[in-house]
Amino acid sequence: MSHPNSPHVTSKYLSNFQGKTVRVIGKVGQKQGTSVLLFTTDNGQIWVDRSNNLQKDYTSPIVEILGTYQNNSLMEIEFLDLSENFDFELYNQMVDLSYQLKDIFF
Amino acid sequence: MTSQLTDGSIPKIFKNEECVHPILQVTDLEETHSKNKDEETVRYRLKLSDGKFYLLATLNRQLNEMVINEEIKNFSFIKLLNYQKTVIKNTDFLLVSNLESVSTETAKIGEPTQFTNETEENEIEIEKEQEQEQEQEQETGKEQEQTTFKTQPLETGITLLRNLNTYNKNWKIKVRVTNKTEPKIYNKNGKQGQVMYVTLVDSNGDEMRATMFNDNVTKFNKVLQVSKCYYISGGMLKPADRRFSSIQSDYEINFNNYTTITLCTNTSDLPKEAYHYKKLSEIEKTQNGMKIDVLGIIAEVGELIEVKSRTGMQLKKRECILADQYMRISCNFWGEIAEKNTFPDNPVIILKGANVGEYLNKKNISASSSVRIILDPEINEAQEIRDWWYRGGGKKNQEQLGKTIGKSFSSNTNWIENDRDPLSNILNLNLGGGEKADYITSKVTITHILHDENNPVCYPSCTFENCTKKVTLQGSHWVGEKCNHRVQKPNYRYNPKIRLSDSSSSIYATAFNQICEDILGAKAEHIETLKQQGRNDEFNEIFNKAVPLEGLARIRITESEYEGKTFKRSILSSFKPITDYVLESKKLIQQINKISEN
Repeated sequence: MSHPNSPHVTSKYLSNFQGKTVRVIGKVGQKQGTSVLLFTTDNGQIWVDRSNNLQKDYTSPIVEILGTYQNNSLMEIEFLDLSENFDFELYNQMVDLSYQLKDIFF
Repeated sequence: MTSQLTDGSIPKIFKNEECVHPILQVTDLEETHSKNKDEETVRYRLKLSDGKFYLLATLNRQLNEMVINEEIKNFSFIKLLNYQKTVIKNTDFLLVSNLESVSTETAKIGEPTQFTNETEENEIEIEKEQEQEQEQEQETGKEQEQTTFKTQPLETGITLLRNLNTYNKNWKIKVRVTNKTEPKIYNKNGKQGQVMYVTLVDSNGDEMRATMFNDNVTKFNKVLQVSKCYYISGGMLKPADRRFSSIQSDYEINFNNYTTITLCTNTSDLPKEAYHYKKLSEIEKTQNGMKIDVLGIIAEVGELIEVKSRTGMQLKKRECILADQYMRISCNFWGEIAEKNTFPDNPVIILKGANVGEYLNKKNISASSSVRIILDPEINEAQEIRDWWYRGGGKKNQEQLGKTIGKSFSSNTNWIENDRDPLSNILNLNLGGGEKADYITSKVTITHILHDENNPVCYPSCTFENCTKKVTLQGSHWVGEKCNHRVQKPNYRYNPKIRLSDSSSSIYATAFNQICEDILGAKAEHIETLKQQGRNDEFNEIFNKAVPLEGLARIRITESEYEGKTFKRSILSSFKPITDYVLESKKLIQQINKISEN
């Protein structure tokens, strides 16, 4: 999972990253064909297109997706299973802070 | 080879400037014989060169040996240890009394010319030309830089304050008066006199103090006004005395009967004010009795009180605390200054001419009528202090002190919930400096546990119930000096020094038995056995494996004195490796938000 320039984002920041690679953490929701709905930590939703990575299945209810954002969906490149105890609130605060303090993080 | 010769040493020797043991080349070594009262003396004359210049020299007779046994030959490199410079028939000579042979060489380095008085003048000319060439090179193709006071061309005939010295009498300065004291009457040897001081600043931003006495006080008091500019010439320069003046200049001027002062209206190149000051941390390094200029914010203001002096006089005093982002210091105002100034709203000030003192081993400063207070100076550093203050800087320190002071060793089981303090707070807030011990909670990494010969890791301890005092072997029993118990065999308990680091600082803290057992994963007895059996590899492995270890530390700080110096003693009273990352992250975000809020 080495994509050095993919920042962590929540749904509200996605619009800034059209065509770019990002990391999104969220809860796995319903499936629809090759796509999965992901609930983000800021109470948003994003469809994840898994067509390029179908051979592996999510094993945890909370995952991190590395993907390219285009046409309102995330084209999955890779994913990472996260613990069930992953603290949504904390992560959300961290992402917000990283944008507030852009100079330090980016 | 040329790099061996000490560059520029011949001109230095010629000008009697300091030049320690230069390496020079011997050239034109010749033997001379002179007859004196039937005694024939052999002397060696030579030239000593630094590759560029040479001086004529003669060896003292005690050094003749070195030439005879060929330690010194023509072209040799030598280290000049001792010599005397004399002038014989208008020529400069070096009488060499001690030198060391460095190496034998076979050729003359460079084409050295003799260094004389004229050489120096030529040198200066050449240097000037080179400088001008360089300046021209720099200007072409570069944008004109903003003119600052330093690079503005000097008005012709004006001397900068920094160039004044006692050798040149014909100077003329252009300065602004930034401060003027009230004429003060004094008694000396039965005579009465008056003295007045002014502070001057020139176009370069440098400051200098001027004094005047008696009639000159009356004369110049009418002329000199604060914030006005003057051309001044004539006056006596003398070295500045730091006991009486905090102005950072080597000299002071005395305005006397030869001084002329004329008002100047062309003032565009003179700054309104020169903000020269030191940080509060400089006070620590300043000798008591010296004067200093400092920048800080009035963090606390005391009431105006009356104190009786040693001579029985009633003095007015106001105790204040002057602070910056790093420290606080006691600042006491006396007399009129104390009465007039109540310092409302925590102003940032530059205090000029404060006296450095000490009370109970702590440095302080005092300000009497001779100081100058500049309120809210318009400089970046003052703004930085103000910003820090608004973000709760000063109050935070107090809060933290309040939180941690007085919490006892065992009753604070929720110490993990405390705010994290940086280790640098120990020195910055002078923790442990009061009567009671102070505690802090810090997120640290244990980077090292001292375990060498000079730092034993454990000690033999008493085995009596609940006694853990140190025991020493006396005959066949182990006896405690402090507890007086006698035991057959001691226990071993840990007390090593552990190095704790965080992003602000590192400290050594002593840690005791339970904590060390947890960190090292071994009992002190086992460690002691390994050591006594010489199993050094296993011994060292235990310590190397344990670090680095990140965790939350509860540290107890006190102060103690040794050989006149005070220093901090830290004890690691609890340590918990970080396992709850969620809690730590939450704490971090809390702290970040506190800073960002303001």
